[in-house]
Amino acid sequence: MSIAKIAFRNVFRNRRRSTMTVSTIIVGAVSVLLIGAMLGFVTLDFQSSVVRRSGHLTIYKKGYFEFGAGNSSAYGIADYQGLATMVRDDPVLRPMITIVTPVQDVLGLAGNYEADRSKPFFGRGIVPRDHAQMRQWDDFHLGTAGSSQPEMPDDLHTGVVGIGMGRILGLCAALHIARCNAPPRAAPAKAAAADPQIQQLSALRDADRPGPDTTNKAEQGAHIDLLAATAGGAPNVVGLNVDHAESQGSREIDDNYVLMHLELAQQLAYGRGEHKVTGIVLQLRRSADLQAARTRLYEIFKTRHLDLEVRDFSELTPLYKQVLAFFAFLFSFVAIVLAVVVLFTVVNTMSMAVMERIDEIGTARALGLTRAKVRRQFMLEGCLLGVIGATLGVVVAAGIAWLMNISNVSWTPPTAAGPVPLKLFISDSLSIGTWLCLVALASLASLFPANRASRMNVVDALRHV
Amino acid sequence: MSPATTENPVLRISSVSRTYEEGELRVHALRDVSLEIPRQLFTMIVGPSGSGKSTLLNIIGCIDRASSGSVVINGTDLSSLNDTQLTRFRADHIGFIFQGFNLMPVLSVFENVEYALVLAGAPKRERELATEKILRDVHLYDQRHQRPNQLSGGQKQRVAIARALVKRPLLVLADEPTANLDSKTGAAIVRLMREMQRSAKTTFLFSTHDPHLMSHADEVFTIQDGRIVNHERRRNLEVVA
Repeated sequence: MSIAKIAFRNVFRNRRRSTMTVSTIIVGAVSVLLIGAMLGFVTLDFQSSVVRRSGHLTIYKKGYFEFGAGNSSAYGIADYQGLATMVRDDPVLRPMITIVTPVQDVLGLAGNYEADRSKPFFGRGIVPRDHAQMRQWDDFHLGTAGSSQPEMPDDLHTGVVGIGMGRILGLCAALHIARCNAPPRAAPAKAAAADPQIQQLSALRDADRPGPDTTNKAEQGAHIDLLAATAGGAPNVVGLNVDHAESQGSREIDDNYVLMHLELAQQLAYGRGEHKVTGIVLQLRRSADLQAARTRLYEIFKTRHLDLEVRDFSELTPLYKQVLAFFAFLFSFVAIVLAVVVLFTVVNTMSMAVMERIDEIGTARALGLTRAKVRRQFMLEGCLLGVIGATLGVVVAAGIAWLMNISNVSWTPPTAAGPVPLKLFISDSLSIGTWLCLVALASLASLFPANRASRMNVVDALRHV
Repeated sequence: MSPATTENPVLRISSVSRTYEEGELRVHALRDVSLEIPRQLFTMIVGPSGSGKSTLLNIIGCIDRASSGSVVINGTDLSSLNDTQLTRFRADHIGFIFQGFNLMPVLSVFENVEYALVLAGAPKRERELATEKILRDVHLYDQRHQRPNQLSGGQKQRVAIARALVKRPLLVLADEPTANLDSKTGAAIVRLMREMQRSAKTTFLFSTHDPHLMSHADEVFTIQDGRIVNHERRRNLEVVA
């Protein structure tokens, strides 16, 4: 017969009270685990979404991250294909990498000549085949890989715009954009004056080199012209057939985004000059390899004296860090509130237990139970309440998560374009962490009543009725 | 006192006083009490309620300390022991029988008795054998799996007697053990304690305010207002031994 056995029996002595206490701990465990699982899923889904779009790491020419937004062409990486091959073939990086692909960012003015609409744009030139592959990344097995939206066709003069950009340029009907109102008609005098530069440059472009066939635009769908300054400072314009508009999950990106073929972006940014790229995107097989890959890249740059820098997706997407910080705060807040509730419940239960058993404490002390063992016995009882509640809580939370997962509940995350299946994965670390915290909390909560019990005067305790 | 008692008493109390302070009020529960109790006697302390019997037993039982004077049990001066040492001393050498039985409700009859040996640090096998034997002695072996709430008052007190004696203590202290029992059951319990005391060859110190029970005692101390006012030896030590 041990103290543990006596403690275990005492836990079940007042069943109603113990049941209420254990229930409170279960509710605390379930709440923390489900909220943690949901926030964890949203975080992983967000990370997956960012990684599918922008990769894990991007190699830039040094200084681009801080100053390149003002003049991206000035920070172009020459011989980018050689660099990409070198990275791809590196024996350390090769097993970590799924895709190495160049991108060219470009800023300029987009115009719909037909509708006399224009709008500053932020454009990105990509290799469509690579980006289609990047969209399949699913390291966390969330089942959200791919996209409900169509891929960009692998055609030099075809691209994609954000929904807002399509709306502002008057392409609602042509791109079949849902819930898209046609813009109010501008006054004729002003409309005629809209962006004569684009019209002139379009004419120049058509005369200068072959562009997209725009002779039958009504049949082709939407067509826009993109105006930008080349690296040399000269104005340049290219035509783009818009395949479709897609939501970018953020209004400011939606209103400005143009996705185009890398070569077209290079034509726009560099004209007839040497074609460079803004960055080289690396998508890794596992996010866990990010730091190792970054370190290796810097080793390569140092060895080869390359004036390059590496930025990861969290640096390039500040919203990711903000969302993570917000989730951490939210989770901590909920966890603290629940911890306080559990703490006070266990303190109350154990205090009641001590009050009800004063004569037993006196008897045990008289028979030879030391103060330390009295304390240990009551702490063990609190700990047992925590163990039972936390264990049941983990089981119940796992059951609820399983039910949710087979119910195929979907939701639209704040940064996603459309609904995605909501999956609740309760990680081992979350389960173990929650279990340990609740058991420690219950033990800690019983410390005060246990101390009180251990300090009792034996004679007074025996006299107590 | 006989020479045998003065040579090797199990308990020697010298000039013990116990004073409680309640605000400005000083309550003298014991005043200059001195006594010696020889080994293997069934000793009673009689006196009216509030006379100081329980206080004296508490001090002898190492659960209270004297304000002054000395208490020596089996050669150990209790004033030299700290709290943990006193607890250890109780576990090893003192058995308690309480008026309210004070059994652990979550433990079975067997476990209640075994608990005393657990606290004394006895090995498991030894505990089991000793507990089985004493439960047979008090005729409760068949009830060994029952919980205290399934027992009558007399049975509970028999469990308490078994618990007090199972570790073969130097001294068993019984503070009005029959007060919660009817007279017939109380008499039976006293007879049982007397038998057990003889078979275990231990020393019993039994407090009561019931003069009818005095016939069972080898020695009687009468206490009144915190002082020993009478001492009566009813059997000589050779007979007792």
